[in-house]
Amino acid sequence: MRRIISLTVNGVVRELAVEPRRTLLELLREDLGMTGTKRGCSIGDCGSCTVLLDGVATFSCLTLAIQADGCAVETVEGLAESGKLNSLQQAFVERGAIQCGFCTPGMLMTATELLRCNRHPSEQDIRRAISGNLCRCTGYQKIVEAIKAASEDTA
Amino acid sequence: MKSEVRPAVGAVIPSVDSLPKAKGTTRFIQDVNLPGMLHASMVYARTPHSRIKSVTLPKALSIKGVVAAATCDDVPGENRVGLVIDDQPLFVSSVARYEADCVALVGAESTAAASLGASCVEIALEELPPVLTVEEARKPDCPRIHKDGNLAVERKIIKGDVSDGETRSDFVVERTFTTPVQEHGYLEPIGALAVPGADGSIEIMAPAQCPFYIREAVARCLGLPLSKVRVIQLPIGGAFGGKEDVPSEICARLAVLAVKTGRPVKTVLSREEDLVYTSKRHPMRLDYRMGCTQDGNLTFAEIALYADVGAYATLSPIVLFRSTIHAPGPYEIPNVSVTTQGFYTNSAPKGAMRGFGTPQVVFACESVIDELAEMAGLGPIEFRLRNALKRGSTTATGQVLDESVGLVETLTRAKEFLGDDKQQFEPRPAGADTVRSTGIASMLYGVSLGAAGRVLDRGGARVEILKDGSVSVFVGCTDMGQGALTVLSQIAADSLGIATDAVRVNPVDTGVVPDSGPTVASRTTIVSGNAIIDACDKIKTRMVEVGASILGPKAAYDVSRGGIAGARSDSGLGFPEIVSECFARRVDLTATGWYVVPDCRLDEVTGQGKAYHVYSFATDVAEVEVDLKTGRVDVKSFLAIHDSGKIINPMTATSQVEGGIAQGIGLALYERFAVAEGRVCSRDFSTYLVPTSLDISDDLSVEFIDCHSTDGPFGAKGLGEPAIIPVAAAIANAVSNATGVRVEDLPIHRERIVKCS
Repeated sequence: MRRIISLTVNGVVRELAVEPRRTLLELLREDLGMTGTKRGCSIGDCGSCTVLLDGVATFSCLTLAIQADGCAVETVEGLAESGKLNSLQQAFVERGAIQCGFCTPGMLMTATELLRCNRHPSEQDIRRAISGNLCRCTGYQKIVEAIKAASEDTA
Repeated sequence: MKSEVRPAVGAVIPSVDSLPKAKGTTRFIQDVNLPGMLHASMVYARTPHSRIKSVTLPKALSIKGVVAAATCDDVPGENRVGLVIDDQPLFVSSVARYEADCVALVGAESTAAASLGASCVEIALEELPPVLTVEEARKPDCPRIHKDGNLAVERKIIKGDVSDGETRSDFVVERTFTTPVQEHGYLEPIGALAVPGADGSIEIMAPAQCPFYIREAVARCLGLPLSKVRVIQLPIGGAFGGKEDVPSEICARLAVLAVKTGRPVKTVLSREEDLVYTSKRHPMRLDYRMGCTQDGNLTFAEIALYADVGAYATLSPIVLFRSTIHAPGPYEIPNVSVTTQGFYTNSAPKGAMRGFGTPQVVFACESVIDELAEMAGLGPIEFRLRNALKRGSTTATGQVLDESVGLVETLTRAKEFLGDDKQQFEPRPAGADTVRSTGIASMLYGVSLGAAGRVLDRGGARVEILKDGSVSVFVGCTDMGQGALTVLSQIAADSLGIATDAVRVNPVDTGVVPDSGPTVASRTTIVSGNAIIDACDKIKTRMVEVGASILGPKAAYDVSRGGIAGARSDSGLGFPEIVSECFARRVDLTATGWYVVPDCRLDEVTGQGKAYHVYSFATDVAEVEVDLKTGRVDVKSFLAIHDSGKIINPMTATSQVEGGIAQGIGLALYERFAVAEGRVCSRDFSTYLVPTSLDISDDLSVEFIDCHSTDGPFGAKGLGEPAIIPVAAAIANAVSNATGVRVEDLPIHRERIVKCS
């Protein structure tokens, strides 16, 4: 039985009929064709699929699409402003925080939530915030530096 | 004349492909879909060792959405994929040798139908007794996994006479170590896409380190000439060796189904499949005996390595070659014997994993070196300096190192950093139950394929200068996140004297660039870099001819400005002008560059000769805190000092090393790949723990010693693999120093720390 849900994705209202068992990750990637959000494990271990659900960093692979009914969803595709990288994305590029880039979309969303809640996070705050997002390439150092730089940039 | 172009080599330039990655617009295999495409799911034996009696498909084919399936009966060419030793079937036809040995492939209109279909394939099998450990596999009466027995690989080095060395020794250390299976843990699960062509050709798209391996595997299994198989590399979401040979098998199976159905076929593994099915780092038992005189001069090393190669040999002959060569460490030792044996077991094949057989031997060797230093009454750095390979030294294979040996500089820097060579390595109480100490480890690393991969050790590049002065480059080695596209853009820019952003280095396309061997062994910068330089030189020669017809015979290429300089300092043609002039005269500004790695050969029996043409070196310094009550180990700070020759891009290089440190911390402390009765227990990232941001010290430092290599592009050597190699060894030595108990097994067991200290 499909259910009609309505949600805003990066500010755009979307109305869709979805199977109750469908995940938010599937809705984004397959129904809306928004493939920026990545599937790394499907069971909430790696954080690659992190999106913001009403502003809260959420594993979209563990969230049913119908749970997002009436919610605001933000994904990596919504970060750049008229095609231009925002300061966080820019810091990731300039500080070498991106190697293979697969964890990047989820990492950026987690960092976005952090910087909204805490304008001046300490290094430990940053490490704690991103501890649910695995990265196998960078050793996290440059990611932490980039988030720190972006926080100082917006100060 | 234009002003000088700022050199790109040596500059911090953000990764050229990081912008779309930051936007989320980079299309990985999981994001690529074609019209009419089938989704495929592999069918596994699901038991460690069995004789397959029949594979029955009708039930699977009756599932709604399932379109077709392929088994060994559908392979048009050879049903084989063995890379070095021809021991592996594409689809199992008689005996399944590990849990995830592939029996069939099911193609369907959706991923859900494909996986349901795969689960409905009926396999009638007779279970055979599984061989689960090297100890079992070595026994003469052990069941044979392959017809020639369980010994898959044997390697040897014999230099001097170890018994003579032993009689000259005042101190001898004898110890056995073990190291674990390590999983790559790249974040992007493996996948691929095969697209059949109307003319009987086939195109493959895959996040793969080695597109040329895939081309050969697909051609062989489909019975096609190589010219009818084209492989295009997709962005790679991390690899670390895990996307070296494994994609070849997957691509060949997809190709079989694509040909059978006439439709594009794609698969992306689930994380569980990826963990259970794909290759891993070789677990090893390492028996070390080494000695030194009372002055601290090494006298001999007698080493026996026993590795588990898993169900098929895949890359093991090459991995274990590297283990053998690197086992005695970066030291001058007059008498050396290394024997390495790799045995088949009923487990996933062990293959390439960053470091390629080296982190294991470095852990064992550096532990023994620390013990000998203590017996000789020397500090760990002093002892290493006394025995370190230097320019003019002879290695364990009898190779005289004639250039670019930066080990002493790395050790000297470590000593300067620590300020003291003894006290720093003592245990220092840090809390009620905690103690801190420091450990170091050094390594050498033979860059590129060396004697074992001699025939493959060459590479090409195609450079084309377009009429607007922009430059399109194709190379044969891939970017998997390590920054190859960026570094190679910098090399191309400085070869021509133009800005980096005028250069685009494209993903590998086997239809465009000559077979350049695999993207492994930290060889991309030197092989593709030198090939680019060669191609640019050819183009510059043509530009100079045109320039000479305008500026006179003394015209020469000016790389500092980009363009042609005339005899007078004020005469010349800038890059856009000379390009326009060449186009006006119909001069070809396209060239294929080629680079052949200097020849390396070893004697088959003694293992003596030139193993690799040049070596990178490193010394790592780890400071740990150990909780003696719980056995918990925290890495408090880490310094890695690398000699990888000229560093082309300090930011991407530093980031490589930081990533290597994290992976090494995982190997040392966390990563335990659990298997019970031949079945994998670590089937996700909550049972196989890779380090998180909280597990890595916030005090990582990376330094480079620039020890120029005459053969490398702009003096560069390799870095990607050295990044991880000494890490676990340095941590283990630090833990041993803190607790007074020698670490013998990785990952370091908390129980052992608690019990022994």
